[in-house]
Amino acid sequence: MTSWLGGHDDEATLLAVRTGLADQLAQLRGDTAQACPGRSAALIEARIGQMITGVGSLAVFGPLDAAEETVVAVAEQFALDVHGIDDALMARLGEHYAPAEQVAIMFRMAFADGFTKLRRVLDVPAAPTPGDATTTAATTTTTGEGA
Amino acid sequence: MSTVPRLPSAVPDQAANFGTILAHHPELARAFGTTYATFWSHGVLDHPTKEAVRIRNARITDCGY
Repeated sequence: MTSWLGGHDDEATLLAVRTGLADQLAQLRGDTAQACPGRSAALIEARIGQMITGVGSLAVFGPLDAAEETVVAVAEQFALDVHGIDDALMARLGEHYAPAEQVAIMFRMAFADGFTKLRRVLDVPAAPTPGDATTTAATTTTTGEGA
Repeated sequence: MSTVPRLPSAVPDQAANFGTILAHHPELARAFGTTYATFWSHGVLDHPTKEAVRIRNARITDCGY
């Protein structure tokens, strides 16, 4: 697959046009994925990707626990219209995750939303990022602690 | 959009805001700050263009910054 924007094969080669920024972004995205508790990073990436591209499914994750269902609910609203994330929804997230975990989860949503839309607009496929748990975390368990 | 931060400040005696909330995760806060500084201080776009995009984005998302 080749983008109309300079013939880049994937997101990584496109971002490499800005070497310093691309390296920092890759590190930040990888750190964010690793900082997310349990399967939340993978769930966020999968659900937001599914909503924006129409590709993918959460079926591979199997049953979700209450914390994971809340992460998915916030991710869906984040992608649809961030104004719809209200106090009640954030309170639900806080019942399952500590503030530091919520910071990581929201960072992950921002990256998933922004870069999935960027890839769609520029017509380039994703490239693996360091520490990205998307392809492996579907089989791990949730370790998030309540606030 | 809420006008009251939904997470507490991680910095004692300082009000909750974007920076003090990010401080719950110092490593991510540092990495984000470094990346954001690079974005604003380097690149091929001029500052007026970057700022116009930032202002328009902030208006649409009700961002207070």
